[in-house]
Amino acid sequence: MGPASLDFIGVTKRYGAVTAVDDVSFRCEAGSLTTLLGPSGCGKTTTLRMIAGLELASEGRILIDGKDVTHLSAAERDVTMVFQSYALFPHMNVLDNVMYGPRSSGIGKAQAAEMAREKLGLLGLSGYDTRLPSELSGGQQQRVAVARALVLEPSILLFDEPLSNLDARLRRKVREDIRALQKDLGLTVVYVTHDQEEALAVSDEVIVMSNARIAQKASPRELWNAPANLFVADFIGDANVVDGTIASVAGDTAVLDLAGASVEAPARGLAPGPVKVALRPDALRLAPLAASDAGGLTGTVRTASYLGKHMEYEIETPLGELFVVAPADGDEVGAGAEVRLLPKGHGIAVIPQ
Amino acid sequence: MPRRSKARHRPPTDRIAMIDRFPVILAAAGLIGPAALAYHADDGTRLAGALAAGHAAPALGCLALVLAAGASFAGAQRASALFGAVGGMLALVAMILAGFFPALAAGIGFADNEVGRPIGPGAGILALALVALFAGAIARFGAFRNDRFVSVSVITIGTLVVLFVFWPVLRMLSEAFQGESEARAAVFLDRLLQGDIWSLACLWSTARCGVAPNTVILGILAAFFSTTLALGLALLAVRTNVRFPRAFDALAILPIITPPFVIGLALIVLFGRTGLVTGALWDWFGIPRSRWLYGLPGVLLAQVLSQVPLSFLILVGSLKALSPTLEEAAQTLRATRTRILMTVTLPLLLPAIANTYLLAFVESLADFGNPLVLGGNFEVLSTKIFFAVVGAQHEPGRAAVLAMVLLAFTLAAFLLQMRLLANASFVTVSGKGDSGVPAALPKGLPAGLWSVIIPWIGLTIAVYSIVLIGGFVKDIGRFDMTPTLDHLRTGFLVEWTDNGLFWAGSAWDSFWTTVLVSAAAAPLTAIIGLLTAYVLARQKFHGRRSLEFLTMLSFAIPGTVIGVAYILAFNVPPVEITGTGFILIACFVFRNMPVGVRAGIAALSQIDPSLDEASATLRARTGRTLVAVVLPLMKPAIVATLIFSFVHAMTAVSAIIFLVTARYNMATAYIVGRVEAGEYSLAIAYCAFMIVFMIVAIATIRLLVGEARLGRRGSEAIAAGGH
Repeated sequence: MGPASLDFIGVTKRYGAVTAVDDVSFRCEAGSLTTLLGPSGCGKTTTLRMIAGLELASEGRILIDGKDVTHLSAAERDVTMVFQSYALFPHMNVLDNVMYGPRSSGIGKAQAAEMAREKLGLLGLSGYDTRLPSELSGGQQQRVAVARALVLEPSILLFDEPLSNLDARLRRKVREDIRALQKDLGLTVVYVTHDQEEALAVSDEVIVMSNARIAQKASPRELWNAPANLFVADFIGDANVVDGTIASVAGDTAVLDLAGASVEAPARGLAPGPVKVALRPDALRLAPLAASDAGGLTGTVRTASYLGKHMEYEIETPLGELFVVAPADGDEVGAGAEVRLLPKGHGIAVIPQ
Repeated sequence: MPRRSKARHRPPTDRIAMIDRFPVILAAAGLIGPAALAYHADDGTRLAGALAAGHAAPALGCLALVLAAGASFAGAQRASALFGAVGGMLALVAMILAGFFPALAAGIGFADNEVGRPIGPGAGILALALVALFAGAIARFGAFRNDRFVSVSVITIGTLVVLFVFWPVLRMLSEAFQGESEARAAVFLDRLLQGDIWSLACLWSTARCGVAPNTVILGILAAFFSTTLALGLALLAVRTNVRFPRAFDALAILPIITPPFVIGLALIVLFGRTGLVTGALWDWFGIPRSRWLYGLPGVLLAQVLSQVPLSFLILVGSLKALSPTLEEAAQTLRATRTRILMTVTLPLLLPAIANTYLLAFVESLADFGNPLVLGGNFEVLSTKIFFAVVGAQHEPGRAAVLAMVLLAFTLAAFLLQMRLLANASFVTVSGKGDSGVPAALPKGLPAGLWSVIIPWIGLTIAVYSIVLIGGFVKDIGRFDMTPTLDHLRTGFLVEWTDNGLFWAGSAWDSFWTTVLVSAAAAPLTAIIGLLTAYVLARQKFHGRRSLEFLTMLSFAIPGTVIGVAYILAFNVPPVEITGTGFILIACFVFRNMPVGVRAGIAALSQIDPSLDEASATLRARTGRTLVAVVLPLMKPAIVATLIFSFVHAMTAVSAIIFLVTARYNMATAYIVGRVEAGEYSLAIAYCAFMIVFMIVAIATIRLLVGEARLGRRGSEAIAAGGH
């Protein structure tokens, strides 16, 4: 059937008095990988389940490839899903698990087995046909789950936190495998995660959700550099959100006054005046207090933690306490030291209100 | 659900273009059924006859089925659904009117006379087909989230439960108000406020108490003794070094497969006026023979004997589930063993203890066999109800009032138990990951417990020995221990004649009836119970709580009450089924169904719901998901439900004693008859035969259904996942 686009138009999901998803609209292009990202309880999983048809929308419309599927059940939609727990049928062997979809669609046994073997081969699982899910490793179980979801060649493939049951070493590899598979087969994929690094790494577009609504929908780069609001700035990349003032705007660049220090950042169309500013932990570099008196902020190191490849500091400044990451290159300072913080020229963004 | 776009959406596959077979199948069943089997039970009229007589209900029913099927054939699914929903509804209303309100129906031309006629099996099939047609059709219009399988299941089960649980009880309540006088309330109050129901005279004089206080006192005592003994036994089994043999677990099943009054019977043989022990005491110590056993002491002893193993199982489970770390924490805080037992172990166990207590209380109230055999002049509600129905003065109204009192008591205990279990979640400390050594019992306690428990175990063994050997000696009542097969021969002789096997024994009729009825009821119970469990646990729909309450209600109703309710409700048209085997099967199915529901819900809570969801996203509709994914994983629950319902049907006595007839006599009713005739040996031989048969049957069921094949780490794989 080939990949399809997905549209949510004013979709709301209520459970009694609780609104899990509140008037959400977005579009996923055919052949793209879109991530739903947010803290637990933000509505991302409910959104995913509404795409699958496992929950029916209370209001609004859901279109797949332009066709209204709002009231179709999961069995009637051309959407499959890789579950967080994989949900492999424990009483069926690998081949029977993967054949389940074609068999349910009324395809004959021989053809279903052929389709299943093809996808198992694609995922490097040839020869595992007669194993039970309980006899496979976690990574293998997950690949069986992906093969089972792929075998029907769905319009849209869903992933619900697919990496959460894998150990840390495997995650990066599986993440890349999923992205490669998606690109090779040109699949439309919607992917749920609460891990921002994972979301930034695999996505064409990221939808950040908060309190049942969409906080921002953007490409990973845009999300990092131009957070749409305080929530996104705070949620993505541990930014320090501080009060500042736009002193002047020249073209696309604004000159900010941060407690007396003058720094530059993209203006994002804002006019001079008070503004919230996101400072990424790596946007500032530490310098000895005496070395330079040219601008920047002064501060006192409260804590300094050595993490091997970098240092993490908490530094008391006139802007408040800032979280700063600096390379562990031998120039570390200890708690109590007085330092100067200088902007590096990136990682600072004004937040439109 | 918003109104704008209803059922117009077409699934993406071409499946919808095919004919929808569902209304076609229903039409075939709903038309062939009454064409081949009687529509009216009284004169055996078939469908053709009923239609020719111009009855509105069958005509409407046929019309609805034919139109729905025809429209489906023509590819007009929406029209088919419309015919099914509207036509099915109208036809059902017409059937209900003609059946339950014949006078009204005759007034508006729906029936030919005002008396009402009993419906036959054909009409039953037609009605069921219409219910399913209606349920399937409304799912097309958005009911039950468009899920036809769920819609048909819920509405069919709901209809059956209303007909076989709710309606009989309601009918019984109304009977309590009907008498010679027109003043309904006065009739009811007069019956309710009788001295022989409520009198407390026995507390201060030698006069007898009413049946209600008798019943409650018996229940309280039986619950207290059985819970206390079971708790002592559980503490010894779990918290001492004594290794109970593994056979001990198997022994706990014995009371379940023992007909309920057998223990009473064995007690008579041991302690009756001419009993073995009584005789020995007289011979050796000169203790005079007496009839102490007949009355409260005997009934109490029999009930406690049969209840202790069940209570023991519950308490051992709870005791094992207690995390030892809690007791270890108490130990590190310098608590003594006694203090730990009193302040940590027992308080945490309290909900389980209370649950056991209430369960034993309800069981005692519902018990009919032991009071019948051992009660003597000590009357309880269940026996009083029985004699009000079958006694010399046939008083159904009085029986109904007594049944209401009994129902009120059991419902109160049942609701209390529900509340207790709902609030008791803190006991279920997580089972895994907590390693540790539970605190030892206080010094001296084990010895004290043993001194009570050992005689008790001895008594239990003596009782079951009587049951097992009593039928195979000449006269156990007079301690004539000459081995003989005479009793077995009287009951179970099989002769080989020229015409083949001849079942010459007097017990064969009742035995085969019992086996057939039980074997028919068990799978039906499992299907209805587990299906109900599935929709209750896995589907969201309006009225879920009501369905849950109705199914659980039938669990709380004592058998005697159900028996009275059934003869009152089903002795008259439209559902006139007393005296048939069908009423026995219906009685068992709806009495045992809640066990299937509970077993099913417990099993489903162990199965990750994302397995169902995965199946749904892989194009499987609900029915296929149930058959291909859920049922194979529920095999233990299926086995448990099949065994329980089969065994309970074999051994039940309280409800069916009202429902048996000469033609459909049941084993337990037959045995009660033998006991009343004083033929103890034959009765005991029959019981032993049944116990052996049930053990074989249980083994067969296990073998046939088998165990779920999930691999080494199967249980983990099922329970894995979640958020």
